[in-house]
Amino acid sequence: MSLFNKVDELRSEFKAALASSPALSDLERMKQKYLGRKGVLNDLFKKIAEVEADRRGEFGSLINQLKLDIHDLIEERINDHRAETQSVSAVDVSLPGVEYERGTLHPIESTLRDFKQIFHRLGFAVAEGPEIETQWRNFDALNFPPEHPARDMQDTFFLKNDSVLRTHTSPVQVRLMLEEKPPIRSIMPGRVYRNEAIDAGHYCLFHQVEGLYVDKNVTMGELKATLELFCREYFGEFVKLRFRPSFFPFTEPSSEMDVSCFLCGGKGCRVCKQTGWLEIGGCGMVDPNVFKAVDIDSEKYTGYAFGMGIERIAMMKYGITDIRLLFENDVRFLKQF
Amino acid sequence: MNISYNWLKDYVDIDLEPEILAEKLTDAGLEAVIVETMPDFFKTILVGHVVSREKHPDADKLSVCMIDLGDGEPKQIICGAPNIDAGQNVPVATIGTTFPDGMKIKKAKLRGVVSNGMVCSQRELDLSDDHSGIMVLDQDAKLGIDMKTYLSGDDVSIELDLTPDRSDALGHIGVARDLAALLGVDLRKPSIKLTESSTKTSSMVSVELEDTQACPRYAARIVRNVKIGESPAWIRQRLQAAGIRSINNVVDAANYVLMETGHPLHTFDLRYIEGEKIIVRKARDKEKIPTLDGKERELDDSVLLICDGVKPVAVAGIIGGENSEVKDDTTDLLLESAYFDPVIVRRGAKKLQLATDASHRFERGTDPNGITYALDRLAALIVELAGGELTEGQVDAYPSIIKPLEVTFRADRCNAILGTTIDTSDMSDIFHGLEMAHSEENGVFQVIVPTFRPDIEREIDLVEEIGRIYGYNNIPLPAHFSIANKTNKKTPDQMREKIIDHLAAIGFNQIYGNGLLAVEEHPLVFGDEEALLLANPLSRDMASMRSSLLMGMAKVADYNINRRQSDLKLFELGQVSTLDLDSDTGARETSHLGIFISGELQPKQWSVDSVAVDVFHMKGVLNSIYQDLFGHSLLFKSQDHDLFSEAIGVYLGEEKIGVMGNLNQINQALKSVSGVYVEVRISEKLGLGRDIQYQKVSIYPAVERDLSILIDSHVVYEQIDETIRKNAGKSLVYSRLYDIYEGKSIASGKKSLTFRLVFQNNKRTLTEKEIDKDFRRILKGLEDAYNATLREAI
Repeated sequence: MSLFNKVDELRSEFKAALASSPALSDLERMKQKYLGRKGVLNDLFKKIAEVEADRRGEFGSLINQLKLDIHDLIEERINDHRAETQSVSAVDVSLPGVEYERGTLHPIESTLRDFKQIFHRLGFAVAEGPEIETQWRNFDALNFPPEHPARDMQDTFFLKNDSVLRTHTSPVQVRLMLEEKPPIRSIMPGRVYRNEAIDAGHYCLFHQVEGLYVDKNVTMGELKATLELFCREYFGEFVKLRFRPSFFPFTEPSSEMDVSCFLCGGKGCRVCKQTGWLEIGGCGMVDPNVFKAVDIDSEKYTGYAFGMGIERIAMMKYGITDIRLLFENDVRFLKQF
Repeated sequence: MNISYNWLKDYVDIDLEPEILAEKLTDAGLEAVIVETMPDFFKTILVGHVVSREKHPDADKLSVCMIDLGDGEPKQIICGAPNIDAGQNVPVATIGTTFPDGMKIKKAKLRGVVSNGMVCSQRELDLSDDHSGIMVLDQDAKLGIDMKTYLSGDDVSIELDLTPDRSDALGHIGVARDLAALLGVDLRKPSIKLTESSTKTSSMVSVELEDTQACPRYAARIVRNVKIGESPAWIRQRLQAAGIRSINNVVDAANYVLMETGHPLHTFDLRYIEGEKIIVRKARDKEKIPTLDGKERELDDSVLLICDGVKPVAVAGIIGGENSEVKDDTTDLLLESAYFDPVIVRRGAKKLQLATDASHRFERGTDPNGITYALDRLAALIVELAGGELTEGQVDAYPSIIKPLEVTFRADRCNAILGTTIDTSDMSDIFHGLEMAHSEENGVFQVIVPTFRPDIEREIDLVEEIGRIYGYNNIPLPAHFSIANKTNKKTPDQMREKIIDHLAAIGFNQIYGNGLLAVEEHPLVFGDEEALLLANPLSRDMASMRSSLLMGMAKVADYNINRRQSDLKLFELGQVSTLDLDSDTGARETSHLGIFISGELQPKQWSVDSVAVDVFHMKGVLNSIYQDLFGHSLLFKSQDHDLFSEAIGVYLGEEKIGVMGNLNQINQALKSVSGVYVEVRISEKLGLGRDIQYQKVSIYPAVERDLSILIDSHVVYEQIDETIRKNAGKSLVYSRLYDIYEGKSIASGKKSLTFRLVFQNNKRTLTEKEIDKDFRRILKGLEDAYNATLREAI
């Protein structure tokens, strides 16, 4: 085979290699192979002596031409590659950010926290007690007469040993007043149980926050002021409060408290059943019989107590219409809070 | 209870719109709302006068009537009722009326004759079951008024939601009394004029009280020759507004006086009262009585009976007997007005599972000294409505008079409790308005509490009376609060909040589980739990208190996994309880923390590798709580456990506080649940946080070295880690395992562990030589102890 044929052969070999879409690294290797100091074209050039003398000039320019062609073609491809790479590495800022999953507090917990925070600012400590109580602490000490309907099986869960699942957090007040001397200023959050059929508005258990302040010269006016400040802090500056005389065995005088409906502002709507008011809890002055049960002198001390249902208020605030959602714990529900 | 706005005006002068009145009552503790007692379709049912009635030309049973609806242009209406006749006033459903069942009144042709409406029966108006013919209205009814106005006399019904202590307000006079006090006006009670015959009541009937505790007072009267019939419109309208259906003049009279005075009364047909006497006694065991509701009741001695000389005729304070019921042909009546002990009536009503208007009032306490008035009022009303002859005098068995209480009330004490400055004359006015006689000297009142207020026994009860009539909403608010100067006790609540916040911060969702479970749903997490059973559960699946959080958590996990939410990170911190005979409640309660993780650690996303959760994630979560929050180290020991595969016991010091592992299938119902679960007891001993003392950060450079060793597979990490630390010297500040490898290119029975070691000194820069020395010492330690070798760099 003549050396001239060899040049043609290299040309076609190169063209085939180029046609196989070489990567950037392949192109670099091809550059070395064909154009390098020890490359195949230089090798071929060194054999120029074997060419007949009159055709040596022709042979040399043929190789040079091939060198130039290969060089240009490779560089062109390398440039193409670079352009391509550059467009990929240009940042697509619309890609989603890495998601850090947020944990959540249960809505009952977060409502409770809001309550605690406000009452903490007003100087209330937190007191706790067990969910299973003696009838004495749940009823007798709180001035429930022996025949009171609340002691019925329809309202209260009993254990087989006659203990009860507390129906309110008030037994914690009893514990507190037995353990500490006035002044006592505490809130009592906790879980309570009622033996009632479960539906959208009722559950067999729920959570309460009660408050107790026992000291010299505690008045009903101060009770009202405390609750009003709480409601303004929690529901907003423009909320109105209404106190209605009511009846609880453990307070006298007793009162219900209503807030103006935060949805309609008191004009009447679906949430407040057209009354303009939402009932949020009960309150009153600690009954002297309760003080007697825990051996506090009711002539020397007076006190107020109040209680609110967490679920009820959380439901109002978050627009939850079915209490069962709170205990179903669907993560798609939980993650909204 | 519903009351009538018009009726109230009999007893007190009111110049208030019904809505304002309801607000005033609510503010005084009688929660009141205006209610619509009549159906909407009554608005287009009008009173019409049948001007003429003729037979339908083509139908035997139909009549063609001309009915005047008050506009003087009689309309032609076809009627099929047999009793329709000219001259009657009748209710006419006019065109456009839609009945509750959807039927619409349209102009129609009946057998070729046009009809412009429909004449209604009582049943069609849902007033009774009577469908024998059309309803005939009063002759003097105003034509063209709608049924609502006809029936109520344009009254307004007010629904009262009373607290159980206010038995005095279970009648119109009681409500009017509060209004009188609120508005500062006088209360008017109807005066009674009786015309009695010369026959003495006592000659016809005697009363014996066998149990004066259960029945302290029983009074009776007799009316003879009454004529049972329909009550006049005014009675019917008032009862209608009070939500009571008219029956006949005698029953209506008793109900009227009940709704007026709040005192329940009973009427017997005298011809069925045998032996000319009434005996009030406890029922005998298994004694039976047929009651007015058509049932035969079996009794025991928790029930008080009214008997004649032979048989029981009524269950005291609850329901009358069928054997002495007033019927259409009754002529002679025995009227009962009595006071029964609230407790005996409550027990009896519970025994009979029956709540009546009467039992509702007796249970809450009626007025023993209001009996005579109520009885005379009833007698007078019956004579007025049904005629007859009233015999002379009451038979009144009242062996021991119940006297009103006298209560001392201090004005300054009242103001001190309420936070008010109400003066004594205003307090006196309030007492006067409430019919409480009183005297006052130097701000100290002696108040006679009438027996119609059994809820008032003490000074504090009178303070409430002053407060509620003065108006709770008028009590001024102080500008400042007094806050006790006292350190608050630290509570476990703060500890729990820390844990909850921490878990939420690292991506966990808090749940609140139901604390009640089926008796068989108590997987033994700790092994020694004994669950507490309820005596009166709501249902079988909520018959016991949870003894661990596992079942609740598993149910929540199952709920979510079945809804394609399987990457879960859940926790609950709550109370669980177990049997404890040493405690006065028979229960021991502890705080537990349950954590559940399943699926992928993070949601699949484009730049983060997804990692399936395992027990080591859970171990890390626990360590972050105990170590980072509270400064306690946990120990983990593998153990056997039915509920877990790869179970690990969790120890705080010597004490086992919990268990974790891959949850096995708990039961068939929860078979979708798979994941890692841990439950630990949270003890107050954890404290409220780590004691933090600042450590100076070294200003000298830290040097990192990687240590890669080959070691026998059975040597556990804990041993290796301990050996490293033991041999490291003071300069090793950090050591972390970052790779572990067994398999290809590693000799069998060996594993490769790679640690990142960081050396640093507080006082100077470490030299390469020093670090090499430490490094070799660590390696030598591992070689000596476990025959480990340095793995060559790849």
